[in-house]
Amino acid sequence: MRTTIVSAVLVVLLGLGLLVGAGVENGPNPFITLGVMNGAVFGLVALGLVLVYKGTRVFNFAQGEFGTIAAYLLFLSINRGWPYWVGILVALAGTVLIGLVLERGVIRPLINAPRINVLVATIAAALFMIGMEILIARIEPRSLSPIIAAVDSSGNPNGVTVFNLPIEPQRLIALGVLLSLGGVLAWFFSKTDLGLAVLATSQDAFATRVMGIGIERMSRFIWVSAALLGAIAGILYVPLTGALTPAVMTSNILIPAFTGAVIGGMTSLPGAFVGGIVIGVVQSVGLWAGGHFTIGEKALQEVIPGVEQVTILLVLLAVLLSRPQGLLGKEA
Amino acid sequence: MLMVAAACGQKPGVVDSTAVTTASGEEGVIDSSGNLIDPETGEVLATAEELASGSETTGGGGTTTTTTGGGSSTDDGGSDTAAGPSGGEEPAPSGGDSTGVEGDTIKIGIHAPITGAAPVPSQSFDKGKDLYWEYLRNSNQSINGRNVEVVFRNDNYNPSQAVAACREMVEDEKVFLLVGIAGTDQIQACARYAASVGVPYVSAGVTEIGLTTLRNYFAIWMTYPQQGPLLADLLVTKLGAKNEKNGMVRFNTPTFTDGHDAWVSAMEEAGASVDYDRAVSKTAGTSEAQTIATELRTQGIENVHVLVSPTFFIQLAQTAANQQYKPQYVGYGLTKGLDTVANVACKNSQSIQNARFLSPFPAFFDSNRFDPDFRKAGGTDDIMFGLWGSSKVIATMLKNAGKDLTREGFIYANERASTIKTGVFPDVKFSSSDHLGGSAMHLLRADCPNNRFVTEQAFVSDF
Amino acid sequence: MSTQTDETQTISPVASEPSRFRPSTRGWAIRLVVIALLAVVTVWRVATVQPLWADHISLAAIFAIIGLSLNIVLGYTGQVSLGHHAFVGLGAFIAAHHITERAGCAPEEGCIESSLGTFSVAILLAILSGVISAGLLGMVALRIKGLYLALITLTYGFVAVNSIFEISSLTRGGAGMPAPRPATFFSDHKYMVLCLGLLGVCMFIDWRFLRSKMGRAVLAVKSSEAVAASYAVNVTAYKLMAFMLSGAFAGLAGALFAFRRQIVVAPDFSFSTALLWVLMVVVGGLGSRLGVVIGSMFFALFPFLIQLVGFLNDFLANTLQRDPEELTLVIGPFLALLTMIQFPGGIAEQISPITRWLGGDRFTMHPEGKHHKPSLLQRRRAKKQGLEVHDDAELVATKSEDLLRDAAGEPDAASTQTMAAVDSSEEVKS
Repeated sequence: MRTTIVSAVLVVLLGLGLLVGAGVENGPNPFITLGVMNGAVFGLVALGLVLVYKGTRVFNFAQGEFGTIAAYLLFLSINRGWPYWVGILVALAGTVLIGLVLERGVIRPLINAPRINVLVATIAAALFMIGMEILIARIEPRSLSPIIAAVDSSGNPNGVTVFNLPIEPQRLIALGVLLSLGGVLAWFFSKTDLGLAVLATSQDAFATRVMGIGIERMSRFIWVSAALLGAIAGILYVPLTGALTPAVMTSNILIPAFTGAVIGGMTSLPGAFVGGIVIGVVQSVGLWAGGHFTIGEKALQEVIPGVEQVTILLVLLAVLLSRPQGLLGKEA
Repeated sequence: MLMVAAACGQKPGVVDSTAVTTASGEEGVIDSSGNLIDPETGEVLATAEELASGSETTGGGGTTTTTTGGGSSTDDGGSDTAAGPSGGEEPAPSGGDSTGVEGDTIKIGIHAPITGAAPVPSQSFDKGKDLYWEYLRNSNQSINGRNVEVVFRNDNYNPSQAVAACREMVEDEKVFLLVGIAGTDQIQACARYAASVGVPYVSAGVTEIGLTTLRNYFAIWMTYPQQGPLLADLLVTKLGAKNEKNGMVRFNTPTFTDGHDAWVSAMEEAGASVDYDRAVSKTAGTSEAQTIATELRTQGIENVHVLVSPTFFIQLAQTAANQQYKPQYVGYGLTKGLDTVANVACKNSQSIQNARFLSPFPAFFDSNRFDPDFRKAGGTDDIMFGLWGSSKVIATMLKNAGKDLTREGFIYANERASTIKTGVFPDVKFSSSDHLGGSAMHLLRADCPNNRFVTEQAFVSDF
Repeated sequence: MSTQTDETQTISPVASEPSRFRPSTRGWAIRLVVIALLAVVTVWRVATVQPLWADHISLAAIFAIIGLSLNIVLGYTGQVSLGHHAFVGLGAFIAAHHITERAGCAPEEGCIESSLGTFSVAILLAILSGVISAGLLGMVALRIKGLYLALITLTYGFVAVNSIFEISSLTRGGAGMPAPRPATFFSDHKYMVLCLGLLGVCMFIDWRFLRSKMGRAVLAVKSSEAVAASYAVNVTAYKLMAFMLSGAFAGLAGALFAFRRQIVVAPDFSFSTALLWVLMVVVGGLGSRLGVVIGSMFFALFPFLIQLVGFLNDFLANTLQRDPEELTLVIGPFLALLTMIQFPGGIAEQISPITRWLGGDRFTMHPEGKHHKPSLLQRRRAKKQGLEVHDDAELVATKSEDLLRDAAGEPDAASTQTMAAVDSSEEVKS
């Protein structure tokens, strides 16, 4: 079953590649690559979502804002003249602290509440963080510099060019971080006692407690890790967008990441990765196709505005109806 | 359409001379095309051109309609302009609505987005909106014995909220007139509302759709359709667009279509091609920015005309620069703070180096060249400078209306007033048939190493 | 609220306490006088309100209808809709489009007032659009177990914003679609009366819906899907019905929203708006009609209320240099978090002493009656005194009934009512 699905996805991607490859003037079409690159970031955020879901069976709507807050902390640190790595440490530490506060103040009191209440609570937490960002930082856009500049001081590109798409070093770092974090998490959940304990908690909290595992400890661990993952995603992604604004991670990343995670299967780490990339490619190719193809006199996007979003909804519905547990997810 | 009662009453006050009634003293009606017509017979008493042309027209039994610019030191519009209308001149309204004028203050209302998708930085706006009026007060100047109090409402970059904001200012705060300086859709919505309640609306130069027929509407700089040919001229004459690939990226809103069409046809007339033309959703984010940047780069577009929000422009320019693609950006006058854009978009990659924008006011960097009073009064950025300039225009417009300030009188007087010169904004001149007052712009260039815009050419009407 | 309690009593004889408190004639008289006074003061205040506040109250009524709509999904079926901005927005654009484009009443052609006929048709079309879109989405989404409705509605919301609201013939893009009111409801006062009236109708329908067999079945489904299904309740069909009713309310609210400012633009309906709506329902009290209406109205009026408090407004504007609306973005979520953690019953629970008293019960300050989950504060106090508070066991037992109990407004009756509901649903089937 799984191999069929994976090969089906590959066939779809290949088809897209052929379709797209046909319509470009100067060399290979870069939009698939662009989609894969964006999808990698969606996958990074989706990892955090899957982690929380595996641990607590909750969709965490605050995952995106961990990233935005980390980006603001990094921005503030750099602006104070601190070295970049200090800024990263400050951002990670600050976000972990927020994760702790969120866990203690919001999640813990709701540990026995219906899951829907916890979901709504994470929404409230995300909106609260966005509100605070707007209140403190205002909506003005700000510029956050990348770890390694895209162009060096003499004007030469630092990155590589793949299929007619120059890829910044920051993206390569993001891709590497995603792959290694995915690996670490997969190892953690399958090979370590702590990981197994986390999984056990999510499946039957009461029984887990009876077995002598502290739910509180598990919960704290999960949310701190989620905050950490969110912060890493924010630090890596925001410099790529060009503008740091309140809610930047929620409005640009969280929703595609969610869709990706669901498509891949909320419980599967490789699924999050695959789902994220599927969404990234659909989005990028859809946006390009909307302006590129014409129906009669009109551009496709004038006939069907938001082609990419419509396609994403259709893909989501198709996956959920045919395989409710997602592409790579396990049953329940 | 506005009914104007035949007026016999002399308007007291500082207006040097009163306007005339029609020769026969009948009631006249200005129709939508600006002609003065007899309401009984429908006969045209005076065409719009006659009404507008003023002194060039010979004959007629009217006296002159003249206003002075008042006593402002920066205003050189004090010379009287004679206007001798022929046939029947529309009579000056007597009486009228003087809401918002109380004692020695005139209350005006201004709406702008300080939240929403494309906000104006609120600290600058808060300070800037009062800056000129405080300066007037501190230097003991006044508008015919009065000063101005500014009421502000946030429109959240949303037309329906703009209408609500304007309503609140009209009904609750009882402002004399409304001002909109940023946000095309909001300005259009609010100006229409203002027209429905007879409140004068002083506006930024934006779209013309649905606005040119409103009698209460005054655009104090060139509209987008007027800027279109100017921008095309800039591209062709100065930036060599004829032999290059040109493109435009705009937000998908009907109020940008006239600005878009005017530019495209001007480009074609000038012999330059438009090779890329894309409308994006107003809600577009980084994914859209990346896709468009990639499209522009792969198609090799060298000049990109942007008509989008500052944030989206930054995202576009930055993601393009990340792909080592830095085209020549050009655009219409923005009032939401070009320096803020430069501050963000120049960092790291200098992505908008040499971007050129038309602007109704010069760059903040060389503001002293144009009006040294601005920095003395405490102005610290370009948003304040824009507000300062528009306040100066509004001050002159209010002076034009005379001591006996009414909404009708304001509209009437400014249709006949002499050219408004502020030293900051290019000349502004209205007539009864044309409420789009601008005729020139400034050209600003991004000076990226210094994170700012500089004035490349001031007061240009062609290149 | 009162009727609900009474009926619960009749449905479930088991739940009735041995000696149920009955107020004396004097007691009833006092209650009636208080109710009458409340009604008179409210009507008088509302009737003499300034036009601007009439407009604000219209918004509050519209928010309340949206709250009721969401409450059906959240409070009754136990699902989350994160795409309600799409239903409301679609209703708004359909109504405006009908008036301006189909009935030809466009402001640029000098039409300022629509006719009452087209206005009514526009509202009906908006309701229909809500029913149909909710029906289509629900047919797919409700087949999938778990909280996936949240994600599907969320994605649908993004489709609406990026695709449907971008169709310029429907929305006129960023400039907005005009929606002139008819002469009958042209002034803000008249329009406010219309909005409040329709809110009343919605509350009535909601009340009848919950009392109907379908309503009881929906509650039963929420309480335990498995139990309900074993009684042969068609789980998906009932959920779908509830979802469509929710869509109808949302469509109506959308139409009223459009006519309120007589122009409607896409940014009015954003993802964050939908999230804020979810929160206002939670703050109001999940499942409680009155609580949800009060909570929604509070969220709608909050930015205006803050402006009334002069010093607070001055502090915001001058010292913090912030717009009151920006503060709403923080206060709203904060209240929601506070509600969920400390007062899970929301506003409904907090006002329950009064509502219960008015309904003919004894006056007790205990917010929830007998069953009172100890709050964090109380637990901490108890801990100080050396007492262990074991609420876990109780929680496990009552978890599924928590929200249901709020809905019924009578803690003791909850479980029996579920049974009764299941029984009656069984009757429907057989």
